[in-house]
Amino acid sequence: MNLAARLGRRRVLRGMLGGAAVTVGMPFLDCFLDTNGTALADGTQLPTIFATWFFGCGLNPGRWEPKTAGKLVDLGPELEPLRPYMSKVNVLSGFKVHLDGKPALPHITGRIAVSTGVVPAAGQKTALPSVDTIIADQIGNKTRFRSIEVSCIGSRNSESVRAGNIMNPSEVSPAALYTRIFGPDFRDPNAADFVPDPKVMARQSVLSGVKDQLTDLQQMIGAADKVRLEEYLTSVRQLEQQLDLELQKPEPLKACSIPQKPTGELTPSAEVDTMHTNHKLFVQLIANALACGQTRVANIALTEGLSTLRRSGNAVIHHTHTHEEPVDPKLGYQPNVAWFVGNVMTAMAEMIATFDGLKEGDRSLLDRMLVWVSTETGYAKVHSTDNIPALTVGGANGRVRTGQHIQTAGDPITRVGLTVQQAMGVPVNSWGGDSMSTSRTITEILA
Amino acid sequence: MAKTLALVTVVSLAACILGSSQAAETTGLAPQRLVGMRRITQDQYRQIIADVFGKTIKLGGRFEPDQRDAGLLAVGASQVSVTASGFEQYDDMARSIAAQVVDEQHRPVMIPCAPASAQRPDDACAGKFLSSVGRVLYRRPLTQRELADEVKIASDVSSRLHDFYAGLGSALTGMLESAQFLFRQETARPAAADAAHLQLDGYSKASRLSFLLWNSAPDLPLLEAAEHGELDSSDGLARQADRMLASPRLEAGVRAFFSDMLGFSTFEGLAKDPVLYPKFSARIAADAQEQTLRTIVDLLLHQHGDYRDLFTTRTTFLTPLLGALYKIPVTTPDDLPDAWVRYEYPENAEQAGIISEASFVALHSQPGRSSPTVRGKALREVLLCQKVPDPPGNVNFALVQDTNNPDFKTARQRLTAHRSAPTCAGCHKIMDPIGLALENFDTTGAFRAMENGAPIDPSGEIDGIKFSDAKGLGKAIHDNPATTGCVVNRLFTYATGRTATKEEIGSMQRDFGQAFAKSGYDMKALLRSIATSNEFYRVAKPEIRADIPAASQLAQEGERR
Amino acid sequence: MSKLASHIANIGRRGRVCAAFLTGIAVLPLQSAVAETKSYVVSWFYMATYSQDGDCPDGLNDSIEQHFRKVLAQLGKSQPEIEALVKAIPGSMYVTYGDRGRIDGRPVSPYLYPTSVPDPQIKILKGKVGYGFDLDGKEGPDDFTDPETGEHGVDNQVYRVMGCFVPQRAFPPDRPGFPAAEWDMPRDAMPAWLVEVTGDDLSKDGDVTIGVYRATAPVQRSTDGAPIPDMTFRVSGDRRSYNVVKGHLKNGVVISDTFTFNMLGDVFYQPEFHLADSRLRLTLKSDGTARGVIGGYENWRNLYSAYAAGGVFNEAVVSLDVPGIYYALKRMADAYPDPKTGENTAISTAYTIEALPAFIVHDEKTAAATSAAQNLSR
Repeated sequence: MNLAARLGRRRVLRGMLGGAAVTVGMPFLDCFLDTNGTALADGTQLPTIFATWFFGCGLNPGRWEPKTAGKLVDLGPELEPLRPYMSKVNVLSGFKVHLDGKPALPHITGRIAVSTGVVPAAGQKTALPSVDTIIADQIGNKTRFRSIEVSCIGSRNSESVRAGNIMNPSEVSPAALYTRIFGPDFRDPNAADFVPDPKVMARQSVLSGVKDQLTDLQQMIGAADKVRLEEYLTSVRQLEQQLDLELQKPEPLKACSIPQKPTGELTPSAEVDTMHTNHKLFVQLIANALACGQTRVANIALTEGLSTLRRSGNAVIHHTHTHEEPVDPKLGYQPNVAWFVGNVMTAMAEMIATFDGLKEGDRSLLDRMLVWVSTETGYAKVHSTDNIPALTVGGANGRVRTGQHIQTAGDPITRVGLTVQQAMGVPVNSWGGDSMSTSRTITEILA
Repeated sequence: MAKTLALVTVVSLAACILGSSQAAETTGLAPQRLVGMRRITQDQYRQIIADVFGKTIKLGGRFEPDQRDAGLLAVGASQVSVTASGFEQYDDMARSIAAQVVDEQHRPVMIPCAPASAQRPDDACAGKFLSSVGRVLYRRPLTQRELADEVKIASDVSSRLHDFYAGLGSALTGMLESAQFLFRQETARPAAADAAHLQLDGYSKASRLSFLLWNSAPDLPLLEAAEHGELDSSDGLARQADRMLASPRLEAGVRAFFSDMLGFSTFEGLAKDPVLYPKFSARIAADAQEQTLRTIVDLLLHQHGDYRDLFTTRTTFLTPLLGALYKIPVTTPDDLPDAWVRYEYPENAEQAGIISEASFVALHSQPGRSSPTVRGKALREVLLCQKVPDPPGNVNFALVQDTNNPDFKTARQRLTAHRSAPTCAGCHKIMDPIGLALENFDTTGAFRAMENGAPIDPSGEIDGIKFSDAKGLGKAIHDNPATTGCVVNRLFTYATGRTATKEEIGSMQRDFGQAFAKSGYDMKALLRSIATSNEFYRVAKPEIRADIPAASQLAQEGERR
Repeated sequence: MSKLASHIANIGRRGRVCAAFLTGIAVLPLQSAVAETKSYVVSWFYMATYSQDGDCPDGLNDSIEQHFRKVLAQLGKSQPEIEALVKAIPGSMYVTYGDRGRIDGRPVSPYLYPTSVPDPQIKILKGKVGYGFDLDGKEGPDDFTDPETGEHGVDNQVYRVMGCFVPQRAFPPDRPGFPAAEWDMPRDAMPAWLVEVTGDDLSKDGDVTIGVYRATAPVQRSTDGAPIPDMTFRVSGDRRSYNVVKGHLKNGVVISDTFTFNMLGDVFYQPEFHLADSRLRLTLKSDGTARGVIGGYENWRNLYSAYAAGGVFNEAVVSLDVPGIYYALKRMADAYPDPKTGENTAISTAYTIEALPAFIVHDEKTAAATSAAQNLSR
């Protein structure tokens, strides 16, 4: 279904709005799913989805990297929970952040460099957008939500940042996210009847007026504030877009089933059990939202850069252990830190299992996803920005080749961000700043 | 009973709104420029809705978080925009508020006129309501075109839905989510005798004054004063400032400032381990903030006290829950569990005014234990305005790890490495000794003499001044010259919404700092000197593109772009 | 602040306390000028148990289903009827139990008229170890040895009556499920119980005075469900809940002289406690908490009425046998014979007390007013 045809219908709807509610029986649009349920009627695929999954304080170096490069045939002990999904995963090792003499704020600089491609100069803030927002601008303007951000430990600070250091705050409550997505404004793609609501059209008039009122403002505004006003305008347009979609009969999506409201969520905190519970609820909810076409970009923050994960009843958080716990001479690593890493990996496996478990015909949701798993340090004990772990999960509708271990010796980690953007169709040839500026796609994983 | 009172309040407000002026015209002055766009905070949003529509109106939505920059939400407000999810929420709230305002229960009180027919548009009545409400919401009169546009929306929707009030509600919704409402737009024009600066216009002055002193939009007398050009004369400005300083509403402004300066918004995500610290709950966290704000308001406003005494005062306010936290007996009249009681610490008590209160020591700690480094850093940055340099990257902690003593008992022992390693000591020596003085207060703010069976040694030093306990630290902060300079800096930054320029930092201390000292560090005097100063209402000329005509000219020419 | 109060403050509790400066309210100490006080709020109060294997040689009392089957058989139900009714537990029990007593063939409540059912002969505890005190000064065959003090001749007949019901069994520090639940449920509305120990120097052995009072407000709970420690309570002036007795502190354990203990409880638990010839033993721990035992003679009908008030619930859900308890209490009552009938009216008991640190404020005038207001509002 191309955009022009859609616009035509929208105009028709508006013109028909002479007061009477418009009842439209099925079929309204001549779009059906094909009989396999794996594509739309006109043969186009179900859209590709992008997701990020972020965790802080990295892994233990030497314990996650597969030994063999090339085909992924072995895993380091810390990645063992991913064994059932090896064929759908790419492990990327040896990538680093080049500081170029700029300060490395622990747990901050690494994260910014990985997601925006640039290490900010001393005293400066991030000015560039994170990869997920670049991709969302590319593919998110046809869905109800441009992107969805969630935090599994109750922090509203997300990694998702638009140009001008405008952060998209994370949802912290699965129940609240449920209401936002599947609440009163949700339009079931598989519903038999569709009745455009005249109140929605009234809301559109209001938003139209809100935008018009900006005209004078836009003339008076200085350069610095122009970006902010543009952002505001974009946000208004996003809501308009949502309302537009509410006035159209959505295309049926066979794999879409409306979930029950999540129960059993725990008050957000960084306690490990709470993190697992809320993570599970969020991932299930997001999987349903993706299958129902509500968005094409999801950002899941398991923990913050400075991981505050802790055991109930224990005074010491994950991050503190990484610095204060001595390396066990027999084991060769920090045991408590490894325990926390184990919990991170369990959650990661849970995420993969959930996306892979949602069947769409004979494929899974994961098969049309590209999940970028990232962290911000190679060795939290010393705040190292070398050998920062990265993974991709999912085949992105065939665009990404999986089941590989890409091993480098200190390549800039911006190669990963570049490759991910290209996989999602962003027309970019090079990405990153200073020494991390690169045009070297990781071609092994790009089909 | 309360509902009736609230409605009565709104009636009088509505009555006041009646008969206000229509859209103001710009005269032949130099063109206006937009010099600032500051998003209203959650508290300001709530306060304005309560002021305009009364306290019975429920908000029905969530806010996206305010952002902190340079240590203040007020500065972050000048940086943020509105994200897509944020706008969704503002839209939800706007629709909810507007629906209540026009519903059958509220409309007799809120809307000053009745339409000819409730099923059809009525431009005259809609215009009356929207122009008077708009003036208060936008903090200035609507332009002719703005009003016409709003009336048209009301009319269009009224026709389509055959409901005057639905149309009115739609127009009001639009106003409540407009950039004009959500952002404080500060407009200025070149100052007469000052080539380097622009002077804020009357309405922008009114806004700055009102948000500083009352944390809300200008009230009607202040809007009137702006309209009549009274704020352009120093007498007129002083008259309004004094009126507002004398009002009980000043407390809201002072609370908002200190709440921002002390970083209370961080309490939202604060949790303590419930197994280790079962006393700490959301209720106690709320009580802790309120305790400090009451201490501040009592000392600085009611007692006209010296700002520095905040760090040595023995007077505070407690609820029974706080009594349990601090292990102080507290009884309230009728045993009410939420009542506040004034309390005075004995002379020899180990406390340091607001620094040893839970709102400081619990906020700047980890969930499972205290942190001298975090507290020391917070004290430097929040109370002394001294930036602690960021830690170096790629520090090799392996070199400093003492593998022989992995189990340090007290924080002082655990932080030995911070002190002994040269790469660490440089910065840590300006943080840790301060925080270590507060180690008698655990991560929830409760007092303890021992940690893990070892006695706590709360001695320390700051900038060469040594002390043996928290009380000594409080005195050292009291005596430190940076303390008073810092609150002057913070207040001016908070008031203007941006960090001060080098030039301003110097003039700030000269103009406000000296007056502050002369007044005996009286907060009200400081507020007055800022509120009546020239500096507060002028901005350095921003970069402007010369080829863009100003908005007022466009309005006059009736052009639409 | 009064000089007296400030002096108290400086000696104070746990080495660092500040007496409250409360406008208009004075802190009146229990004792005279120079004294140290430790004060507590009772967090738990339940029948003292020391359940061990083999202490019920006749077996434990019936489970709910077993009990139901027996009663239905007694009522003359056929086997198919019994199976159907057993499938519908507990609803079916509520229907049948409420009037399973018979007086002249008429159905009556077995709880109001416990003798309207034949004595089911509940199993009696035969163990030798149990908490309490030697109340009668004699060593008899039914007496226990206290596991804490080793005292012989301990009288605690209630424990023998109740100790073979499963929900009443526990080995310390576990708490017996039903008695603990009974205490926990009304806690949010029942005014708290307070304990105060005063002596010259509580770090040394010596004479003390013990007060057990009722507060004017209930406990408040912290995030883990337990009462919040270190809260402040006002003593209710109500004389029905005001106990002062002398005692002795030795090696960190306080033991009181003999006294009559009176406390108001809660209508959902036990409305009134009256223990005659009672003794209190309390260990004052270094972490600020306290744990101990109080034992004495209670009017057994008073005890029974607390079980009867629970009625069918106590049988259908808790698995007690309420008329059976009546018979057993009556049979095993061991003191205060009725002058006319010669039957004992009182039975020996013992309760475990757990307590957390708290501040206690004596303010008789205000407390009396508050208490009067509370009584009026009932």
